[in-house]
Amino acid sequence: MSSRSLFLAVLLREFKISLTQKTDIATIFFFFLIVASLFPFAVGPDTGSLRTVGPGVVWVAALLSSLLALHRMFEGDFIDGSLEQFLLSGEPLVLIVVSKIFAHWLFTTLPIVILSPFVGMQFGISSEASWIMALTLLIGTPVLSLIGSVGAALTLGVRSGAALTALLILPLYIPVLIFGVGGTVAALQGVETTGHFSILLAFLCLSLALCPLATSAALKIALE
Amino acid sequence: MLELKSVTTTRGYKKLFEDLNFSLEEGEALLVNGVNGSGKTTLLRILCGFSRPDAGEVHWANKDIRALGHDYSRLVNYLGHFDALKGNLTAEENLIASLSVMGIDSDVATIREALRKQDLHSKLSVPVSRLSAGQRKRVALARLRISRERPIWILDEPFVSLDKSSTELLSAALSEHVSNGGFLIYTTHQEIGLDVRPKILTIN
Amino acid sequence: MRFWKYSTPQNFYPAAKKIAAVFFVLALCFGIPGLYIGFFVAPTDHQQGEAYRIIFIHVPAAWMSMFIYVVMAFWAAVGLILNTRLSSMLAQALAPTGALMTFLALWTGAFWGRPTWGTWWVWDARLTSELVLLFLYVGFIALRASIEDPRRADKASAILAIVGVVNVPIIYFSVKWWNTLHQGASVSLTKAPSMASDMLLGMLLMALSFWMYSIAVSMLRVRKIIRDRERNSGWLNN
Repeated sequence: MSSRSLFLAVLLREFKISLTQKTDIATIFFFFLIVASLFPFAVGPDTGSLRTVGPGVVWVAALLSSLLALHRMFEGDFIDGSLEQFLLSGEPLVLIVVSKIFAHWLFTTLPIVILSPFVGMQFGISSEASWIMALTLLIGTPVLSLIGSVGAALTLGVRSGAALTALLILPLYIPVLIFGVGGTVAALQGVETTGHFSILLAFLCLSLALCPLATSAALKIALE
Repeated sequence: MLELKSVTTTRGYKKLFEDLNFSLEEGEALLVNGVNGSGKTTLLRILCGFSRPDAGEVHWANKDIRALGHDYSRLVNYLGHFDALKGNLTAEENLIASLSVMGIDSDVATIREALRKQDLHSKLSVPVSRLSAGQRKRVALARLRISRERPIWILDEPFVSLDKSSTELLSAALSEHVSNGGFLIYTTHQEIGLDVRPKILTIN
Repeated sequence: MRFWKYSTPQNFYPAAKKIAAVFFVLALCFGIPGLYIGFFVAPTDHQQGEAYRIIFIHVPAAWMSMFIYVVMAFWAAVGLILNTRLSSMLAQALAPTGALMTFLALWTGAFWGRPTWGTWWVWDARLTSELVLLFLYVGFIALRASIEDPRRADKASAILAIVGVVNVPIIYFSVKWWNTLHQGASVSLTKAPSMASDMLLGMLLMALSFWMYSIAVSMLRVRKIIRDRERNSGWLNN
C-alpha cells in the first residue's frame, strides 16, 4: 500500500471514530473557553492588565486543552487491541502514528485555533495581533500534539496515566510556549515577528522528524 | 517453517519459561496448553513479534523474525483477548476501517459476505457495543476470514463465548486453513475437534 | 574481553561494592581540601561578603545535575539499543542523585539569592532551566515508578530520557532568550565578580568531590536494584 493511501485510510478511520465521540471534542472546546474566561476573574476586568496577560492566557489555555485531549490519542486503540493489529498490518507504524497525531490535532485542537482570535479580542488584543496569535497557534499546537504523543504513548496502561502524561510533557512544552506567546507580544508591540515564526516552524520540522519515531518505539514497548 | 529456539522469558520478576523449543511445518497445528498465568498468551505474543524474549529467537524460514520485521508481520493473523473492534461503529464500518489500515484489499461485498457467513447479516447496522460477546467474537472471526490468505494464524482462546454452531464453523475454518498448508497456533480450554491432530506444547 | 565480564549483574554486583568504596574515599580526598579552601583560603568577596561562599556547593551541584542527566540518558539509551540490563540499572540508579543535585543547586541558589538579590527566587535563565531539569528528573523517576514490569520501565524511561536530552538545550536556549527579552537579573550566579585562583581551585575540587560521590552512591544504589530485580534468579543466595 502506498504511504498516501495508508495515511488517508488511518485518517478516515479516525474521522469515523471521532464522529461517534462528538461530546468529547465539544468538552475540550469548552474547556478552552472556560479556562480562558477564568483569567479576567483572577486578574480583574481592567483592559490594560488583560491585554498584558492575554496572549499568555490564550496560549496556556490552548496548551492545557491540547493536554486534556492527549490521553485519548492511543488509549482506545490500546485497550481494544487495535494497536496490536496496527503492528501486524505490515505497514510502517511511524506513518500510522503520524496520521493519528494529525487526526487528533485536526479534530481536537484545530477548532480551538479557529476560535482563539475571538478569545484574544475579548482580552483587548487588537484584531490584527489576534490573527497573528491564531497563526502562532496554528504552527505551535501541532508541535504540542507531536511532543504530547510521546507522553501519551509512554504512559499507556500505566496507573494515573493522564496525570503522569502532564508531568512528563508540560516541561517540554516550554519552548513552544515562549515563542508562541513571544510572537503574539511582538505583533502587539508592532515589532517584526518573522523570527518567532521561523523558530516555531523549526520546532515543527524537528518534532515532525523525531517525535513519531519516539512515539512508535514507545507504542511497541507498551505492547510488549 | 516456524521455529522457537531456546526461548526464555520473564514477566515482572517471575520466570515464565526457560529454554523452550519447538518447530512447526506447513500444514501443522500447535495447541499450547498450560494453567492460567503459565505464559500461554506471552508465548503467543512472542510469536507475533510483539514481545521480545529475554533470550532465544523465533525463526521463520530460518530467519530471525526481528530481522524480517514487516515481512513477517504481514504473514500473521492474530486474534487475542481483545477484538480490536470499536464499540461505536457497526460491524461493517469496523471491518472496513481495520482492513484498510491492514492493507488488505476488500470491498463492501466481501465484508458483507464474510459477516453473513458468521450469521451476522441481521446485525449489519448495529453498533458493535450492542452485540453480545459471542456476536463480537464472530465479527472478529469475519475479519480473520477475509485476511485468511495470511499463512500464520495465532489465536488466543478463539472458541471462548462462541455457541455450538459458531464453534463448529470456526473449527471447520481452522481445519481448512491447516489442510491448505497454513500454520496454526492456538490455545483453548474446550475440547475442540480439528480434522488434523495438533501438536501439543505444555507450559508449566 | 575482560571488560565485558562486568556487563552482567552477577559479575558487577561484587565489583560495585569495591568501586563504591574507592570512590567514597576519593570524594573525601577532594572534598576536605575543597571545603577548607572554600571556607578558609578563598578571600572574602568585597561585594557579597561571606555569603558568596555557597558557590562552592551551588556551582558543583549545578554542573553535576546537568552532567548526570546526560550520563543517565546515555546509559538508558545503551540499555534500550543493546538490550543490556545493567546499563538500564545504571540509568535508574543515577536518577535520584541527579535529582538531588538539581534540588541542591536550586536550594543553594535561593540561599545565595536572598542576600544578593534580596529575594529567594528570580526567574533567572539558569535557575529556571535548573527548575525545568528538576521536572525532567521527576518525570523520569515517576514514569519508572508507575510501570510495574522492570524491563518495560527500562525501555519507556529510556525513551523519555532521550527525548529529554534532545530537549534540554532547546529549553535552555529558549529560556535564555526569553530571559534577556524580559531583562532578568542583573547579577549572574556564575560570574562571581572577582574569580580568584583560590576560588577556582576550591570549586574544581568540590566539583570533583561531588562527581566521585555521585559515582559511589550510584554504585550502592545499583547493588540495591540488582538485589531487588534478581532476587528470583538464584545466584544472589549463593
